[in-house]
Amino acid sequence: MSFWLIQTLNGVSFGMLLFLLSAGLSLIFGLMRIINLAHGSFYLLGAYLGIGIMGATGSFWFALAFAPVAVAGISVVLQRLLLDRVAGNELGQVLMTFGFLLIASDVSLWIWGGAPLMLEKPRVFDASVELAGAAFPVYRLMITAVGMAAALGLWLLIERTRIGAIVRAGVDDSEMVQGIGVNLPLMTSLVFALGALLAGLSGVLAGPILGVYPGADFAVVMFAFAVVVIGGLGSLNGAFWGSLFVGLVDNFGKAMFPEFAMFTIFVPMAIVLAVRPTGIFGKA
Amino acid sequence: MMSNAGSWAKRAGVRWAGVLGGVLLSVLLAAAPAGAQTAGPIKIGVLHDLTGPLSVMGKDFNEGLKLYMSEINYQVATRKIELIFEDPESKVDPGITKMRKLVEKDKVNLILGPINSGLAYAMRDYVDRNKIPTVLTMATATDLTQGKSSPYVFRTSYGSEQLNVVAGWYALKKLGYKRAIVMGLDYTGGREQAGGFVKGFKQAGGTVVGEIYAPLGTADWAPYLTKVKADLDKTDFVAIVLWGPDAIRVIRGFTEYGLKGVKPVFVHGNAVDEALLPSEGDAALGILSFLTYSPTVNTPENQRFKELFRKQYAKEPSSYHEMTYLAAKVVGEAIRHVNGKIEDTPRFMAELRKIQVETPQGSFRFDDKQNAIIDLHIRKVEKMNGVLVNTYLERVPGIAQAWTPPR
Repeated sequence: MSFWLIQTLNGVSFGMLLFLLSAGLSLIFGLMRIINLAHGSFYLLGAYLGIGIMGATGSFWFALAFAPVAVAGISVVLQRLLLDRVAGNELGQVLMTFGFLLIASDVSLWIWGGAPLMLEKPRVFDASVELAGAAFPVYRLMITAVGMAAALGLWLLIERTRIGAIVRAGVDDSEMVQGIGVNLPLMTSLVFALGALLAGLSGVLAGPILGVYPGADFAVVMFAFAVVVIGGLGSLNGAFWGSLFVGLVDNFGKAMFPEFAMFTIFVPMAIVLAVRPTGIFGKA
Repeated sequence: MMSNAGSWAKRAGVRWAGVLGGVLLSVLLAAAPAGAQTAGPIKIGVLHDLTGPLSVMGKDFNEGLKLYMSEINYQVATRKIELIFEDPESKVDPGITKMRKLVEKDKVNLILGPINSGLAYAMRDYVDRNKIPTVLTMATATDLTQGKSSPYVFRTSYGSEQLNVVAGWYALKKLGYKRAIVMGLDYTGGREQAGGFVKGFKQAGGTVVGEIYAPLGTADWAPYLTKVKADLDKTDFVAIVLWGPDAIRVIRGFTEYGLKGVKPVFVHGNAVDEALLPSEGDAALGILSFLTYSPTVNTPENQRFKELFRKQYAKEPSSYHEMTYLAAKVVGEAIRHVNGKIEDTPRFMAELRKIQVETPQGSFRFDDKQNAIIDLHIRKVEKMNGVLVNTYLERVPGIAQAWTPPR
């Protein structure tokens, strides 16, 4: 009994991490119609900058607060300097983001070296809670809580605020939105930066459990794509349920079929692509 | 007319003398650079991973090599030694590319490395065909000193089964455990080593109730740890045959998931190496491990090595440093025995085969298949002066790859 409970919690906590990572990816596609491959870099830079800030200040909380903001800043630079130059050219924009992914990967290797690094979590999270006779790390509970809070916050933003209404309108029909005088470029910059901030946050949060290493950006971009393919691009709902699904399938897949650990998330992804290509909640 | 013919003959003779002289001069000039080439540096190619999960070892391995080289001033007899470092990135394909570069472009005389057993197997035919002496500083690929052996391939570390079969035997005969859960990494080297432990434990009469393999560099070990936790009552101990960041995640995970202290663990020395202990912290305290070396073993050569290391790097050495210091010393001494003429490959390899050197872990020699003969050290993680270190408990000496348990 406790085996199933702990495995479920494992899957849910990993899923929440994936949600933070992929919510931005989904929204960016919905609004800007571009597949932002640089999302993996946002995760990577968030983790590395988090380690750097922790090294300099000794505080995990500083890292958690400022690394995502720094990543959001970098994303604005990426958008203004690179993506705007190929605005309207969707293929060009995708290639730009891929180029950024490669460059960020190499620059990170140059700055932080090749060895895998792990973030130190604060002492207070070293504990575990007793649940149905088994132990579960408090830190992962915290990640789950942060993910849920972010999901709730994003949902309120998108569904209940004027800005959210504009974002939704932009996703549905960007020409119309511009036609009624909304500053769409500002809107897209904000969404882009918010997405990057969340990805950077997931990088810092994942630091103490997954760690960061050269190639982590490519690895998480794959997970993020599995989430948005299954959940549907452009939909927050899709990102949320897709993340939970991927987190649980990956976890139970590894626990029950360890020989197929490499394939556990890609099999569902392939099935969804074959049966419902726009994803469960997707808007084509 | 006679004087004309004579002067013509004389001019022809002068011309021929000139041509002959020119030919002789070119031959001499062509020969001279060849002579200068044998006086050039000895080039040693190094294939240790500096990127990816194996990079933790790669970095320390290179430091160990450089320590020995600085000790001998990068020189043997009258020849300088040049180390050329390349990074296989913890993968096979980049490793093969870089091996070719070292051999075909840099024209190295010898290759040190690799770490990755998969890469070592892939390299074997090439170095054999191109007659490049290759000293495996780590790759434990069993078959490379058995079925797939080559006169050009040597190993100074240990074979996958060689270390782990004895460890499995020790777990049953000396530690008294009868049932085991074994955790390992799902790639060539990982499967071979964990498989060796399973083999040794079963041969000694033990039962393996579970084997768990996860890919090298698995980000999230949570599902595997939870599985082990569920099966703990079926076993007497858990054998952890892991290294690199995966070892850190699992050792820490044991505490986080409430496994620590429930049943004992017996781990591969690489999992609690000094390079990883700072990241593992108190989660590693008290863990029993097995390897070919202990930093606290009391031999004069070990003391000397540690002093030298501290002076050069201002930190304590890890077992990885010791492994490559040993490998470099073995190669350096063999080069000395041939007076620096490493190009005389048959003679150099003959010297290498019969080499005997004192190393921090003990007296070193190869067996008849060019594989190292090792001692199995049993160590325990303890705190000395506030620092975690593997202290020496005891050893099982003289283990060759053909080792069979004593009656």
